[in-house]
Amino acid sequence: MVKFGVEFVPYEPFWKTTFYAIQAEKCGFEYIWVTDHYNNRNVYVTLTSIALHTSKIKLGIGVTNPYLVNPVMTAQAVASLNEIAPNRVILGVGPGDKTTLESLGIEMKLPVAAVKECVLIARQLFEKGSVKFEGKIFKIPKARFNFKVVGKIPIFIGAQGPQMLKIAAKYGDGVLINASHPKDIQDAMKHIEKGVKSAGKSLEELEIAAYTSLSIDEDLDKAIKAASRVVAFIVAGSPDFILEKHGIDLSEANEIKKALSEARWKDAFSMVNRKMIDAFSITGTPDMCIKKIEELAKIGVTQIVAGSPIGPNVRRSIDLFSKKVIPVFK
Amino acid sequence: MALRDVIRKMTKGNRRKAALTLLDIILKSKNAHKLSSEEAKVFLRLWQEDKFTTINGLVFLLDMAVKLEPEKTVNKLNETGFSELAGSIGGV
Repeated sequence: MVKFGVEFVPYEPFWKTTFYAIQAEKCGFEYIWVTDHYNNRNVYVTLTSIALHTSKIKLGIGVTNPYLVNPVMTAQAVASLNEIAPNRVILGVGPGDKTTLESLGIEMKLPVAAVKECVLIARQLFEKGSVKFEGKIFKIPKARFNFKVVGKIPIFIGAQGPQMLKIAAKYGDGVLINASHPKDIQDAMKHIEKGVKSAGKSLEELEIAAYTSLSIDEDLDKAIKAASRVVAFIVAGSPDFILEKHGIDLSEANEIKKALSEARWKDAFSMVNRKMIDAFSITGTPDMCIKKIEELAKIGVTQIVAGSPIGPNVRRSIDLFSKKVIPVFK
Repeated sequence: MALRDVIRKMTKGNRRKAALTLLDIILKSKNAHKLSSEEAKVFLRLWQEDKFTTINGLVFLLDMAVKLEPEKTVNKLNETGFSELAGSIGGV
């Protein structure tokens, strides 16, 4: 059985994101993941609004990083949210985006160690209410909450590279893999299996979520058009070896990158081809989406996160996905 | 005819169709900042409680749509067969 989540980027007013979150809960999604970028609305404020307007859907920070906010403060925010929505909150941690961190003058130092330490610190605070920690990145002589954390707060790790995937499998309750294609998930599974083995736990104990770019519509052209806007950025940000793995022409990818850097949006989006769409998203009619999700589930994915753009009309696409796709996997 | 009377006469199916039309106008609007925090809270409460197709819910949606996109709202309602609703907008 596959679980379904939906990702929201809070770049719009709180009420719009909360509206879609309420809709997702009504439609049978089990998880909401809200991204954490300093230039959008704050993830915890957004999730608080969602928590107050929903009753059962799980609320994930999808994902924060250990560099911008000290892990103790992250744990405090997550534990406070857990008080509003007990047993519904999940902390998602990843290394963050290098370009964004650099724009703030922050160096992405030892990302694997930083994420691992953040997870260990947060988990101790969730479980014991206090932490003493001496790591490569973080040194915490003594920190203690003046309140009790009720229930369990799972920690998921956002991972792509081999080392991060291993750490995610070893220390996380779940892994969030930024990928939409079976080839990428298959590659990731090899490292996840190593991580699970080193922790002496079974693969079944781990939630394996594919954090995808998804675009669904009954009209294929409309779905593709909506996906192109997101896939263009993924192509531009992907290293050559990833593009080559999917048989994407590097010169075409470079043209897209150039167009985006010159703010020629329409040119960039129009250069996105079907191969790119297939490599970096789940896009198409409900039947096409079902087929791809089935492939991912066979490899071991236990949760599909429907990420941006979701579709040409977010409200209608959430509705369509819940009516035509989710029931097939229940 | 007064707005509430127009809505009262509408079938359940038509109320739903009108509500979805208005919702799309509201959600796609680039003028979201024109909505006050209090109005946003009422909007979310009505949605949470599935009340968009009640008389009060539809009046509220129409009010919001007109506030954010006055021209688009009238045009869209006329296009989708809700001209009576469009005609009673002055009474919102």
